[in-house]
Amino acid sequence: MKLNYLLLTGIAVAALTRSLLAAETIRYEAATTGSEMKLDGKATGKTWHCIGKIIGGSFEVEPAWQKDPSLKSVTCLGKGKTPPKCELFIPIRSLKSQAIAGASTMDKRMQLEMKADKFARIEYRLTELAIKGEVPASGSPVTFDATGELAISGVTNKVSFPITMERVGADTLKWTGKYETKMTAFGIKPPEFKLLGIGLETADEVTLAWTWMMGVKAPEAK
Amino acid sequence: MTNSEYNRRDFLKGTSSFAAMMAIMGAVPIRAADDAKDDIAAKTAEDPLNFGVIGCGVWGREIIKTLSARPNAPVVGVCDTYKPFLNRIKDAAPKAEQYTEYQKLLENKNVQGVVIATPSHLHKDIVIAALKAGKHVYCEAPMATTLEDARAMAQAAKASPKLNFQVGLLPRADKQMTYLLNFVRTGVLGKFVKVRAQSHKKQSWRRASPNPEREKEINWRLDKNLSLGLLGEIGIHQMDMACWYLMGRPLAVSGYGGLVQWTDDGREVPDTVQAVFEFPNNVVFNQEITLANSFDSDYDIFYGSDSAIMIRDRKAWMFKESDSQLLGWEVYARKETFYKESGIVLGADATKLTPSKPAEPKPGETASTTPAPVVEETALSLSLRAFLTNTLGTINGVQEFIDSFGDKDQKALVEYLAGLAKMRQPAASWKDGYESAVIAMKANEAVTKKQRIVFSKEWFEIA
Repeated sequence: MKLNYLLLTGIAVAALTRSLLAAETIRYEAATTGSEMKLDGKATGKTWHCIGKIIGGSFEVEPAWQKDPSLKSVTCLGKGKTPPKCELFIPIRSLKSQAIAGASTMDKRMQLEMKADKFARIEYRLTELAIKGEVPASGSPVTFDATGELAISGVTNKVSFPITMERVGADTLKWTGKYETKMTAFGIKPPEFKLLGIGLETADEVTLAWTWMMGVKAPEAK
Repeated sequence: MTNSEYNRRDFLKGTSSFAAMMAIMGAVPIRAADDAKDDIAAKTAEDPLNFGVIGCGVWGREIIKTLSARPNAPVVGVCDTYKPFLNRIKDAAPKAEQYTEYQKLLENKNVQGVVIATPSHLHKDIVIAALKAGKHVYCEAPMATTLEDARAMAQAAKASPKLNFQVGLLPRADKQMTYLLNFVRTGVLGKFVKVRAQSHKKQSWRRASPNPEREKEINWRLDKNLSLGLLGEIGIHQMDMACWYLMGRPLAVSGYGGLVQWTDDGREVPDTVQAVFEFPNNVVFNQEITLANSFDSDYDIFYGSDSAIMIRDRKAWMFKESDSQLLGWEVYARKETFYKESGIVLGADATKLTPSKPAEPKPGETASTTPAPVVEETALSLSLRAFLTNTLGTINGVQEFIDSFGDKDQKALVEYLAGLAKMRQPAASWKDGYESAVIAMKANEAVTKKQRIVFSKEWFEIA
């Protein structure tokens, strides 16, 4: 009898905890349109560009994020605090070279160098988020210092960069940011290749610039 | 587009400094950019795509042979209603399932893309069934022989954005022609004056057959009720290329022609035709095709106020007017003489400073001074390669999207694929195929009726 009582209590507490936790976060999911990841680099003095239109992932945060545009009541921001749960990914094959000649060659080469067959996605996980500067009265845009883990080609590095959030309507967020890094930091050898018979040497430096659109996930239909 | 006049500034804004530099240097990149022999390209080989080929006549067998030469284009199904044709392709496609009904081939789940090379008037039902079966489609040109058929096919292709649809208008997928087009759009011709294309052959166009019944079936091109004649079956490629380069549709077409040479074999389709297409700004495109004389074979010439460009055998030459501006690089370019004219060879490696490499000597031989023979990929091979690459791109694009977001938001998926389409390998889309078919139909009609036909805007509307 006592055992049954304890078991039922345990189940009730677990269910309550789960429902409370569920109520404590809202989940934004990556929008299917409007996002863009742009990679810029140089090859023998000329610039090259790669663009991907798929940025998947989600952002889970306490409801105050949506209800309080000043973000003053949001407790997960700042150094040493557990940040919103944010995970992002970009399929490497979705990144397309914008060259007018030899684009498919460059894409294939990039996929080879990034070991896309083994590590099909660029992945990012947020580990810390702190407001940078003042939050405007309108609540948008807001700049943050973001720290997280960026995994490319099987190498994970701790990275930090400023990002800006804009509120687009009540339920949509637009994140923009830019990060300069080096291919070799992720174990990628800057490729050398030929286009139209001309040898091109790719520089190590590469800039990632992105726009990530997300919307509040609508409740599942029952 | 009604105005074919090209704005040079717009073009230069839209191209990279690299391409502009290439053009200015004179290394006009009419050679394919992607070198298939590149060792890295070998390491980054594309995924395979399983093909089915419907229609195994002369051209269908050429398609099978071309696909079989590619490492990633296995032909897994072939179909023809005439069994001897199927027997003839056993060597080229030994592992292919053989069918005499196209519906059965389309039921084969292993087939991902189909090439339709049946007589043109039979394309419609097969294309629509193939799209319905979820197959990517490569349809030979002309797409159809009636406006109703072409429109139904275009509607089906438009309604299947997750499937790649390409029409076999070969110059559209030929990178040499694309690069040459870019060169033309730098304004090097000056003002467009006129275009001339010819295709001259001395041949009957009649195919041998074992019996009268088969004779009628195999020689459908000679039947005016089934065929678009010389302009539709041969001329459509040059016709489409003229529209492509002039960036517009013709306003009207006048047709002339008849039976001149092959008058005693009962055929109904003219063996010598001429079509005069009127384009905006008084530009005229004159197309002549004959089966009665082979002199000067096939070529296209684009005439401008500053220069003319002649294209033949997938090579090109520029003939400059004496009062045109000096570009600079032409001083170093290789030239060839055509009667009293000097043609500047348009092609990468065309400069006099970079002679072709001599052929590698065989063991025991002394080094040769003869230039190495250049084995160029055929226009058909390039076209099928574009289909392969674009189909794989479409398949991967659909997969990437669904893996990332699921398959609920079909509208967003279609939008995503439309974005990817901008980065496709150049090739004729269903829209290109539809428009060229309409133009060919009306040109053929103009020849048959010996009259001038003004193109109606409605003919080009899909819905």
